[in-house]
Amino acid sequence: MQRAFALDPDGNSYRGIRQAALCDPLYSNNVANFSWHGPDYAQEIYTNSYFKQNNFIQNDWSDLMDLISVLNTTNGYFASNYVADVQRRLNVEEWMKHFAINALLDNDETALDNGIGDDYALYRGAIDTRFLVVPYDLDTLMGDALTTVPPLHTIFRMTALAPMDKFMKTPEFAPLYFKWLKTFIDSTFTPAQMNPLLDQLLNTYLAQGTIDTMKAFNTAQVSNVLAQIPLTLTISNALTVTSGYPRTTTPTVALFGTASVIDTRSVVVAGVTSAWTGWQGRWTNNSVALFPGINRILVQALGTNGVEVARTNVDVWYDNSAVQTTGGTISNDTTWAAASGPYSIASNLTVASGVTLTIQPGTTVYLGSGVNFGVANGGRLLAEGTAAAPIRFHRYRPVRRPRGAI
Amino acid sequence: MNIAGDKPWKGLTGINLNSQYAYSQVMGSAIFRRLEVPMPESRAVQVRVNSTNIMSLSGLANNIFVRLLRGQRAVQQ
Repeated sequence: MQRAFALDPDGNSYRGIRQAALCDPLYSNNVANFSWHGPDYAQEIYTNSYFKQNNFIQNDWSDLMDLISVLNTTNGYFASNYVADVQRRLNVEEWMKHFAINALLDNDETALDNGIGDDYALYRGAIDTRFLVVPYDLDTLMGDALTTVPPLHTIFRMTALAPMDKFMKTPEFAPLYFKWLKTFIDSTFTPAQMNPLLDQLLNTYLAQGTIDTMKAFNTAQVSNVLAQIPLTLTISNALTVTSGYPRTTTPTVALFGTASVIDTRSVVVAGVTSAWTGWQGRWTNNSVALFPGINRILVQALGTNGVEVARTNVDVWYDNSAVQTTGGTISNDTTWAAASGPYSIASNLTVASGVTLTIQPGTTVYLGSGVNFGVANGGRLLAEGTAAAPIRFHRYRPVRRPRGAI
Repeated sequence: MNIAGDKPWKGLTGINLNSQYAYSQVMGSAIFRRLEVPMPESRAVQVRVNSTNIMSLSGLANNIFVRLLRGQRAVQQ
């Protein structure tokens, strides 16, 4: 404790072990997997899974029991306060850092990081009373230098344990895991940094060829992990593309996609907050409302405090076969509503002097081939779209033809 | 290997000997500590029984490594 926690050495330390690892059939069910077995610590299911490493005389297990209670939202703790309770009982940043390093090293030794309650330690300081998880059994890393090809494990192997599943998938916590993964991918685990480090650490013990195998494994494993980290805002749909646009004949469309798992906290589609699964980096909106015509749908990824971190859009054609054909002169104040469109200007159109044409947000206006759309001196055209519902002037129907002028 | 709690050796009351893929242990320990995650120290040692380096019998390496813990329990991995 003095060495590892020099500034806070008087806390409690526990060692979590799967008793089956000791080949002891009497305790084969004893696993340090944070399962809740009631508030009484004095049971073999606890005391033969978690082993006190210090402060034996005090024999105070209350901190460990409290941690297990919180992780299982039981014994007086509730799901509604899970995030705050966990943040008080364990150092979330450090736990995520621990899991990130293990994932990048592809630690295959039985441990928390691969979903087995075995071979880890816990430390709760006397000053900082948030538990830390401490690795110690690390003899199965980077494929043990036996292969250059990683086994392509998921980076969420720890979720095999129910309390860790809840912890890792909590929206407030998951971004921290990805943050540390990306941080280490961009620093210590780059070949530029890792390769000389491996040389320095191992060249007195291992043949260079063996070290080179580990280097190759690391490069491949970093790619494997990186492939599991959504970082960009994307939009997908299941529509068939017609004349260059995804086309539907219904007034709603299902859209889905990815966003940065590190920065994103919510996703807004056409002004509507949509379903966001932070630990997967996936968003979904199964009912995005459409106006007849071409709809430019804005998708925004919002970070903490609702600040936009990325935006993109997709054009979707809602073809309900109805078109309001117009042309000539507009002599009275007129409003074109999005829901009543699209409006097709089939011949030259002029807004007369003293007359206002208002085009509402979301409206699609088709311009026929070679026709002109003008406003006479003293006339007005009010076409004020919004980011979520822009006004679209388009060639006649979504086909490739020359259009006229406005 | 447990050491009597009332007679610690260099402050230690337990030593773990990790003899399988011992280089992984050394490498992993160094990386965790480099990234400022607390973990027990791991160092390369030889364990000799009747002057024979027992690790060399496995053909994996000429060294085994020690994981240093300050608790009273130590188990073979």
